[in-house]
Amino acid sequence: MLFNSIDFAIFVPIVFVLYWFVFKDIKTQNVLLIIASYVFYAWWDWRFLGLIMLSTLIDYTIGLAIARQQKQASKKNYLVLSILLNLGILGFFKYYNFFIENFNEAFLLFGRTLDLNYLNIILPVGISFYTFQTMSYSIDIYRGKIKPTSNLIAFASYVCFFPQLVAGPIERASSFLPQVEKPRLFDYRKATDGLKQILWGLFKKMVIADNCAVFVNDIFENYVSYSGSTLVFGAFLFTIQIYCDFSGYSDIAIGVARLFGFNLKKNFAFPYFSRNIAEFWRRWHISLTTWFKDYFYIPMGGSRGSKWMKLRNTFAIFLVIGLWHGAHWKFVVYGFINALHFVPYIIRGKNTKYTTVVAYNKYIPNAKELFGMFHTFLFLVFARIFFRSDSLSIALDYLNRIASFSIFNLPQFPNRLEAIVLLVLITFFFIVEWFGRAKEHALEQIFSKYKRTYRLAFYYSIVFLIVYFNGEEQQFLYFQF
Amino acid sequence: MKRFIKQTLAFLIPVLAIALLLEVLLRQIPNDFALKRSQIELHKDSIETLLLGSSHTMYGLNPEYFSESTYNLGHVSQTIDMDYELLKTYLKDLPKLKTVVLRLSYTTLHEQLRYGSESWRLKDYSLYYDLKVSSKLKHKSEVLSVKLKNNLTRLKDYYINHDDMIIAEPSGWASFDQEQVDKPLNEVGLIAAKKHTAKDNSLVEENIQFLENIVQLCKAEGVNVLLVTMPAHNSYSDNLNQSQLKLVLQAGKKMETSYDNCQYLNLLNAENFTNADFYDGDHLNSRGAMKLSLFIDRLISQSIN
Repeated sequence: MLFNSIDFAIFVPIVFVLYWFVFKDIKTQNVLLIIASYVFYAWWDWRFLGLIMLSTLIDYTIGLAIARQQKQASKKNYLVLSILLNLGILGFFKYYNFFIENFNEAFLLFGRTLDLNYLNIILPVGISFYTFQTMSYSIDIYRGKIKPTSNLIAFASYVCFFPQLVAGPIERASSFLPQVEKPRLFDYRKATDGLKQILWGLFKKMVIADNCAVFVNDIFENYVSYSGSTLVFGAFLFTIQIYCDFSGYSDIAIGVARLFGFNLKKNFAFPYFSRNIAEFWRRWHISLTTWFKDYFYIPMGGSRGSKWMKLRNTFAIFLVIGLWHGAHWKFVVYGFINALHFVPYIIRGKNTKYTTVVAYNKYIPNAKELFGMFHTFLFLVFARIFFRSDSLSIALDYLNRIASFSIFNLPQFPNRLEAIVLLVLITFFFIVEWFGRAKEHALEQIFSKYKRTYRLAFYYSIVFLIVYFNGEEQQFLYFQF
Repeated sequence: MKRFIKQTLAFLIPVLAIALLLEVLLRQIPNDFALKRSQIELHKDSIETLLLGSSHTMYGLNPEYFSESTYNLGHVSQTIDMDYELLKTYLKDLPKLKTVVLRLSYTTLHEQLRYGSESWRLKDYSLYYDLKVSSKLKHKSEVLSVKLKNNLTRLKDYYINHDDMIIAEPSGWASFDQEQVDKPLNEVGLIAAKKHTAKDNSLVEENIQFLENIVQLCKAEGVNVLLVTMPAHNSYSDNLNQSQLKLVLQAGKKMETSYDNCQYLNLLNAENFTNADFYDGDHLNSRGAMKLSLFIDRLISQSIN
């Protein structure tokens, strides 16, 4: 079930009414959440429900087993078992064919044919997200950060909570389980704020991302016949599309969760207003980057030790983040060039600069900040060519075609008027995000100092923009991961 | 909680009321689907030849030039699964039906209406033919299926400009506003060929099954099927992907050899169609439609006699 579908618009109010008016005690509310989440997931493909249940049972059982062990070595054995099972399932569905392909090719290099067979595997939606959640639960128990829950219903609710089941934010048991285990109280402010966040998420997804997708798909599919300037325009629009698509999804997820009394982790903190790449990665897909930081980067030594150690760990984390997105070399390269861009900041010790919001308490940034934001955004436009292209060779060819004299031509638009309208909408989107950049989400405080009538007029305008300019329905980009 | 629900409803009710009003107004606008349904039901006792397919059929075969009572049930972007649904619905209600003419285009095996950018058209089959073609709620509504921008244009055209919203003639055939598109045929043919070339063959197997179902359904009712790959301008046919085209031609031949009630006719490069017969790279104009209709009619008469 897609967030931007009429099915979901009917599904949420039904679950909402049942949740607050029919099932009033915590136990039945949690059971309802599990049933609703399984229905939500089965709407896409019921066959993979078993996989979620299996993941739930594995880490529920292992979590309890780790806590029961007296010896550290036994605890570690159970943890290794959890990691092997989780990564085994993820690896099979996501990376099996990738490894087979590379094994076959590696053997060919040595003049031998291996001919391992490929499998026709469907990637279950959300597997990368919920597997990471269950894995972090076992790791946190092992580290003694949390105690295991003996309540299977609560644990299952944590794993499958429908707003964040298929594309995050990747929640930690330490923040989510206590919310599941204690009674939720309806909070008017939280719920209305949730609705505002849903509205903005829908605008980002349906108006900006889906309209960008039409141009992006055409330009990337037919890149050989477009000028260099059009290819840059395509890459620019993809940079906007991927942010609005994914952060739009996160906004809706967080907003829906708030309607049910839950607080989910903030996943995006206005990353395109970042002044350097390090700041960008602190603001982009926060739940994933902090996951890798806590469970991969820090155990490797993190930023402790020499600069060489820091560099090694930075490259390692970016390569893994790249590979997390999918079994393609293009993602590995995407991770690599991001790491490469990090190098000067690590060497100069400036990777932790800019921890506050840009132009704090000011309307406009200064020249240095503006240059920083522009250069970071420009880097992302080019880096994301690797992300969007069908293969590594196509990405290189795409870049090669940009570097031609046709870059000085005016971009060719399949439909000039629609392109201009889209650029106006993107400008509006950036203005709203700019004014909300210090808040939890863009609409949190918008027009809060003005009369209610103005706020209502603004919300109705957003509703109008959504229904008038909504693009052709596209699946959320991060579903494929 | 009460305050939240009250305020949410107060915010949503005007939006829902406007949506409801638009839905009612949009459904009142005359359209080709409602027209064709009323016409086929009106003439069901006399129809002997039924024409099915996409815009290639709708614009390319004119029942006026058929010697027997003929009805054109083609629609723009109609795919083989929709042809099957329509046939299944009307076949038993057409007691005199002898022949079904079905286009087998370059795209026939590679597309279905529910996938891709034309899926909004499913609502026409759902709303105006009462066919169960989609489980999605949005395909049961004009407002939810079509962009507001396009719906407002339709409302303005019908209620303010009083435009005629029906393209098709009562026979089901439709003609273009002009005999040829403004751009050069060489250009539009190439663009259409590129646009019609599929990314993969994922739907081929399923669509061949639909094709077989159609032929078998007709066989059970003693009806002949004439599969036709329609004439196209060489700027279109010369730029087709050969492996995609091969699959289509093979499917046509396979149907012909496997079923005695089926005949396949490949007119893709038919030499007697000249530039003057084409509206664009892959659609015939009224002159071309006349030529093709007379030819098909002769063929049907010969096979019957």
